[in-house]
Amino acid sequence: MHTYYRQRLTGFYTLYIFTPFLLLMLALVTASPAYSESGGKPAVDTEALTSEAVDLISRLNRLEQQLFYPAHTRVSVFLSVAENSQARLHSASLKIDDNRVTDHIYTQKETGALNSGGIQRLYTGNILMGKHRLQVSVRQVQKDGSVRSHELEYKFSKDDHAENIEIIFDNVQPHIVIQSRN
Amino acid sequence: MRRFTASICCILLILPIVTHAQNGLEQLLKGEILYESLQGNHLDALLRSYAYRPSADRLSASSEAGATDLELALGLSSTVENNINTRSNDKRIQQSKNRDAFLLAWFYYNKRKPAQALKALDSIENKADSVSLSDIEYLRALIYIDIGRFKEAARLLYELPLIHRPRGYTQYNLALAQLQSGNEEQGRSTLASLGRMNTSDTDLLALKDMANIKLGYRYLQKGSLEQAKESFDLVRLDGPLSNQALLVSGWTLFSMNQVERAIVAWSLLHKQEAINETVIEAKMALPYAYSKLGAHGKAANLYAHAVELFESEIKRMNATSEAIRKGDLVQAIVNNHRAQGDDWFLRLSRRSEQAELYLPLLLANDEFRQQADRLSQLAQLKNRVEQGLVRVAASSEFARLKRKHYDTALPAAEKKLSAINRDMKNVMPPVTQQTDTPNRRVNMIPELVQLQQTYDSYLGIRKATAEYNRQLPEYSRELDELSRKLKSLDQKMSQAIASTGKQVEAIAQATLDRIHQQMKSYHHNALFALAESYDFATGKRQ
Repeated sequence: MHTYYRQRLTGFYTLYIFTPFLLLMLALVTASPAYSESGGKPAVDTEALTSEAVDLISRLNRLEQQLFYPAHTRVSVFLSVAENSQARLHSASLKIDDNRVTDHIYTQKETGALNSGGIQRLYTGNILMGKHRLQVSVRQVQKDGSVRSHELEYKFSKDDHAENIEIIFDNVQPHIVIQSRN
Repeated sequence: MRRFTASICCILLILPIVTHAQNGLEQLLKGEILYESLQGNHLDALLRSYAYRPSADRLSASSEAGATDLELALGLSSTVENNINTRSNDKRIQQSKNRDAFLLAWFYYNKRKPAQALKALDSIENKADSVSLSDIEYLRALIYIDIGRFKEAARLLYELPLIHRPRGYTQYNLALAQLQSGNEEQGRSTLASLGRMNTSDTDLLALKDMANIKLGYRYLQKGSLEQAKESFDLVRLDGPLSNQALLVSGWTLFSMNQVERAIVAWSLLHKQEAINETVIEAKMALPYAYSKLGAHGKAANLYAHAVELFESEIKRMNATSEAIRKGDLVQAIVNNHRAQGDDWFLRLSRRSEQAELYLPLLLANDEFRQQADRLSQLAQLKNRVEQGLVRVAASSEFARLKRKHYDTALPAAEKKLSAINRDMKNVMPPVTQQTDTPNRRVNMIPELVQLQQTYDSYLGIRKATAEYNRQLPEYSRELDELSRKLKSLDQKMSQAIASTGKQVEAIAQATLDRIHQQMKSYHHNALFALAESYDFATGKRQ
């Protein structure tokens, strides 16, 4: 018998062979009760740095919004998928007063988030007060893999308040609904 | 098990947002936060929730928009704790405090801080209001298991109403608590019933495998080889625990003198290329089994293969150690900052040039994983801070240009307004011809109606623009302050990244050294075993 295993097989052979491996495996399969409560904070206080970063960046976000998109010119367009309507979105594009303002191609993660109730901010921009025309095109991947486009036009009037518009894609009988959400 | 608890937290994260959905803008906000958090973009989701509210209103933002879950996802437990402690005792607030305390308890449990988890759990008042008592008791039992109060844990889990038990997981934890509290028979019986559960759920199937392996080991410790083998046989071959099952099942069969069958199990492992503890063990166990059967030639070949493998792995490991010393590992994690969320390491390990860094092996070490997570988070944040500095500079320039523009544009606009005002007076009929009420009078003259509308529109724009213009100096002042603070934070981040990077390197090096030593020992043993097999095969030894 080979030296390596002969040594290991001396004594109560089964358990002896298993011992190192058993310990490893038991550690893996057991929710060990021996967790140690970590005492002090780690050398780097990640939480304090994270908190400061979140605070400063959120202040910057608010300031940018006020500076670049003041309420009297701001228009935001959101996109969601109707409740109980799972859709495989391909892309969406927007035109305001015949000017193309945004195009978006969806990833699998984004489509999943929309199908689970998430709402995507598709566009934020500036327009003058008065009457405007929004043209929406949402492309959807069908069961056979082909892409079908759904289009809709929406007229709205911009006043001195921020304008929020929601596009809802309903896949039950595929169509788009657009509504103001101020 | 920890993954399960994490998924519970994720569900809780979504629930408050979905169930309390409101109309209009509020619903859009919650939808946006949900959209980001469902994609694992916790930082963006939290920033969205803060962006809509001033910091003074954060306490209500935390409870209403599900910000607590996001704060915890980013490790901001002190923020959550402060929010809980400073919130009023109003009944509605109390409910959200309870929910937040429950989430905090899960957070501490997952971070392996059971005492703090228990404290958070004990702070829940009027328990039935917002968090179910069963959920509280379930978590309490898990914490008890962590701190060694097994009997109490077993009692709590046993008494949980059947309908409220997370399927499978309660049974597994109950079995653990029973076994650890000395109730061997009941513990084994609980594991056995879990190991035979009918399910197609992937997570539950893995749990079922875990139960069978655990049960097998218990039988082994007792010396019941036959029963141990039966338990190991129930583990799926395509599951995450198949390697462990194959290896230990092989040893069990070997101990039962069923060497041929042990060879079958070990051969499956031996074929694998991935280097991990089970495969390495199989590389040695298989030739050993052949030699036991007298097939010394075959054994010698397999030992020779093992020697070659260990030599090449030792070389690879030396190269890895050198790369870590040069800072390649830390650089790879830091440069991977664009991978948001918890799966940064998956993206990194998929990149072919990182193969030599032994990332999967290193990530199996809890301490390494924690520090690497921290490093990755710091790198992501630093990237955002750097972007913030660029954005601040752009915004300051924008504010300056706007002010310059308005300084010249506003007087011109005032002139235009005066002109419109004059035009309106010109088309207005003389006062003596006006017989009707003012409104009716205006409506009768189309030019006047149009002028009135244009004038009103200009007035509206002038008012809004004047207000915006008045705010510009304030925006500039705030931007300057933000720039200063972001620069200072950027420096602190650089120091933190350097310090955490050193810790990551030290842990990685220690882990690799340990594996390196093991590998050398295996190599040494394989060489001796090869020599012996060769001697037997060539008849030099009988």
